[in-house]
Amino acid sequence: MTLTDTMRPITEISVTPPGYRHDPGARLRPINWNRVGDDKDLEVWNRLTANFWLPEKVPLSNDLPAWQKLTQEERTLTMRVFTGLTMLDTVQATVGEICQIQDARTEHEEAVYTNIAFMQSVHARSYSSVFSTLTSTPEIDDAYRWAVANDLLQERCKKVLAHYYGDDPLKRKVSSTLLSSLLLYAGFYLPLHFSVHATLTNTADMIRLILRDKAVHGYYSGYKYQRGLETHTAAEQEHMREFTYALLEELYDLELQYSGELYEPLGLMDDVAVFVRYNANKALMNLGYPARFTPEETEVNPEILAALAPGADENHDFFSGSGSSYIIGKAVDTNDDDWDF
Amino acid sequence: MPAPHEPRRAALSVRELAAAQSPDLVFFSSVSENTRRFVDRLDRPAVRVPLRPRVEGLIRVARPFVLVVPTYGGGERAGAVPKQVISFLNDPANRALIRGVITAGNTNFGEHYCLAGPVISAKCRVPELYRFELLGTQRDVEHVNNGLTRFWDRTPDELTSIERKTA
Repeated sequence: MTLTDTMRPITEISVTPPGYRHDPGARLRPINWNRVGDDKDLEVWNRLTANFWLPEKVPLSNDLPAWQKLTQEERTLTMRVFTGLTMLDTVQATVGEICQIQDARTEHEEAVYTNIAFMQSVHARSYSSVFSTLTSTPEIDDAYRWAVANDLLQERCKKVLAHYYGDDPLKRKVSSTLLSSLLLYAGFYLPLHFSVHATLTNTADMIRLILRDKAVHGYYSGYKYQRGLETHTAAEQEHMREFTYALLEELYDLELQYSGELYEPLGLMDDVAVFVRYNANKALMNLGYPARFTPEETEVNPEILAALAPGADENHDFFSGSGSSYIIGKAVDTNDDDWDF
Repeated sequence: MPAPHEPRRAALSVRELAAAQSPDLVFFSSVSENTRRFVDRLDRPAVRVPLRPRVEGLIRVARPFVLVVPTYGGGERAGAVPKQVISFLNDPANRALIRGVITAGNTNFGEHYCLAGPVISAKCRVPELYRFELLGTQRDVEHVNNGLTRFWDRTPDELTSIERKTA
């Protein structure tokens, strides 16, 4: 350190630990949560920690009677779908989130990915909790052998992994957002479908906790993608836009094949495809891009939508109603403490 | 956890909009700019609730308005309404002029989808007009645009007048 170094901003004279890889001689800097450059990092960190949960808190064993009433076909489907979800969460926990640390724009962003990576491991483990509660070791082992042998499942993961281990930080972000906001949803469909029929409702509650986390994960990767993208030239931005829509197309096609094999025997695939397209559009919105699929192609079965979010129905569209129920009330005095009722 | 940068309660500057410059659409958007992009697509005059009140000051509007707001918090009622919007509505002059609320959210948050909507609706006794996800679709934009036009056309004078007082 020289005297002039003390005059310069600390971020200019030091690097965070991942920077060692590129410059072993650089001075290292610890994370300082009392000097936050991007408020979104702290906001997302706080959301993530407030939403923390563990599968042990969900009374999965209450689903045993419902599990025993399922047909063998439904049980096999459930185990394969959940093993597929476990695969994606394993990819995301051990590679997808970790590989984004090197591209972080702030030191706090590095910490956020460690948090998200751990939560993805919790998600992966939660499916094992379902299995150990409801099924037997031989059945579990069979499902894992099925996953290792399934070419489409493998290809879906490797399509994304190639970009995670590639050399483009923006492509890592797009791949991560598409995995979190598109690939997982054909799997999430099944427990929502069962919960509509009052089956495996505790498992569905657990899936709702996972869905809540995934929304924050997809939002954050998408937000950081847009912060990164805006530092590039118009030509580079156009290249990334084309890359994003092309990768979405590839993953969507693979998803239809992979999920088609699983769901078609039960006649559910049309409904699943709508749900995938609806979530593909949401993945694009997280990345700041317009929808790929039309409103007609993304009209999710109202029962599934209600199982997902009870408030997402038309009751909250005042514009479509007559407005006759509008009652003029008197507003009350408010203060800051008053708003968390 | 210590909070070394606790905002001081010093009076913040307030920018008062003249009636002629006060639009009937007020929105808040975080640095993600998601809600701003939705409002831009409505192509209507709108004013933004400042993101950094300590830097930009506060605003006080002068005409009745509909509020467009994203939901924060990701699953808990506390914190669902962005704190800047709470500050804005804590000003009695602003609160007296709100006529409806439109909320952005994500269905992944389940029963807390668009939670800021019902919270503001209950607190300010105004109808929740519409909900949309993330950036909103083209269909959402058209629906809200047509809806707002009809809303202001049919809203009785007593609601569009600035005379409506709080308790």
